Amino acid sequence: MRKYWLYQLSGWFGYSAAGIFINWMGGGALGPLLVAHAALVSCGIGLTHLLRREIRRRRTPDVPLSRLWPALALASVAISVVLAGLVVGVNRLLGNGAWDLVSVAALWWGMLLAAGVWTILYVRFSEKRGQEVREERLQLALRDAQLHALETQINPHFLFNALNSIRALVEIDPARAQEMLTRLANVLRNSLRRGGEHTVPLESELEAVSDYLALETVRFGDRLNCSVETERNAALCRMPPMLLQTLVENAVKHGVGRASGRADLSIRASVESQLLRIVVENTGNLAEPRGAGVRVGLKNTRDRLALLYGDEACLTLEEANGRVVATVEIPAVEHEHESHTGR
Amino acid sequence: MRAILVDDEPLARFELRRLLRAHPEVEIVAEAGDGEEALRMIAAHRPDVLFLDIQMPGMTGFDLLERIGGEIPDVIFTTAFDRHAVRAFEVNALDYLLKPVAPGRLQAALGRLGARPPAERLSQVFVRDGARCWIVRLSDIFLLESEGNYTRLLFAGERPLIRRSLNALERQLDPRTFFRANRRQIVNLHWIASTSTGADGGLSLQLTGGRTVELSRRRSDELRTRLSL
Repeated sequence: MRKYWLYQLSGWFGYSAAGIFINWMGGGALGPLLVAHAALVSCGIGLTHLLRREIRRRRTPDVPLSRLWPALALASVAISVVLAGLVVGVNRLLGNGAWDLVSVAALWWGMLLAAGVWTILYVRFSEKRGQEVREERLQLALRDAQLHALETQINPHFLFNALNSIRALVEIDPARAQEMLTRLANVLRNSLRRGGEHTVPLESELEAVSDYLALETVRFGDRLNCSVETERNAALCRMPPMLLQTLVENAVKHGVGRASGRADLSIRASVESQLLRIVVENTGNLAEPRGAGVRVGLKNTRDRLALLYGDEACLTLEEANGRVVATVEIPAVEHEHESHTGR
Repeated sequence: MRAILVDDEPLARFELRRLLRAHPEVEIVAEAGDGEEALRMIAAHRPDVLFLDIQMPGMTGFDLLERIGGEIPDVIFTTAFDRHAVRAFEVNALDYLLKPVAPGRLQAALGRLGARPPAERLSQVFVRDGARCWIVRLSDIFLLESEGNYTRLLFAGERPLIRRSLNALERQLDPRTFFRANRRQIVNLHWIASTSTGADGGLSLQLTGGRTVELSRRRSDELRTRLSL
């Protein structure tokens, strides 16, 4: 829009300045020339602006520009006739010289050139702009698809091991087996994601993670010891789905991954200066070789944060005193802003 | 058939035990919850077969086999989702079961194991080179070549490089089968197709498959004595 006016104004003023200069050098009186060109510029801008409105109105995605070319040519001719008439009229009114047919024709030819060039340039620029817009939409759609692909990943290793544990429980403790099946269903439902939301309340993520941790506790027995601390206002914040799950899966893998002994895992969430901070901490160290799966998981998580929040979010992973701490910070947006519950 | 179950998850071991109840020919002599324990159990019980989980804390199933170092029992891998890891086996992959294990698959795996002649079950080693692994019978290895502190094994069109010196391997190999031909090579005597004597009196061995191994005179004399025994 701003670009249009820049080109529109500079084009017309440039054209007119050249005209004034040529006529003045040819011996024309400066005063009448300026008046005539002021009329020419304002009229030219007005008419071409009208033409632009008409083009924008008529051109739809299914009407190709080629169908508009005859009408555009006709409009250019009409504009040039009006403008030439205007210049001749103003000059006559100011008693500026006699106009023979040749000079009128030359003037009209100049005007036709101006209107024609204007139309061609306008169409070219707007086509290019249209292409850029389409490109942008395509990029957005692509991002959307990428996000979905990243969100719906569930760790197949976890899934099949959980199923295997449950099958064992059917004989040992049928009631527990039933409970674990329900929890597994919750985890799966959560990973299969509701309609296209890119963020969900932390609260619901915590529920899913607690189901997940219950299943892992069945698998690993008392080797896994979990705790969760969440501030109330943090629980209401929105965050990307499955992100917490990924971090907790990594923590379980590397916490319990220590050959012997118990592994602690703690999840903390708080809001500090407009940032939702989620910390997942586990016993272990970063020096242990991490499998390709973990790197992919972390990379995916970083990619998702970048797609959703740009530079405003970050994920760090560090080790201190035999514990590995994963910290995610994202802009705090409370759930209420987007829900129907109101205040 | 004496078996050891190796899996870090107690419930997974329980499941396998339950499924093996239908196969009285399999006697479970021990169970292990991690790699270290498994190594001790294997040394103590010398089982015929290992049911081995691949993803375990501290030491994966592959690490475990590598740590055994020498000859290994038959292995049936159990895994939740590591078909790609099992695909690393290029040659002589024994078998693998996906958890939860289907009883029919278990039966088929045990059937294949039982059908192997006992001679084949002996003397197999685990070989890993980068992401690829092999369980290979020693009798299939026709040549071992030193490359610095590493050794290249040649068998069945494969030539993995393993992280052990030729000297260390020589101490483990059966001297009745494997002969130190020169500083760089150990040759499997069963793979010698023909021999010829060079101008300096040293032997030249042609192996089945086309490789030629040159011996010094001293080593040639030793081999002649050995072969004439």
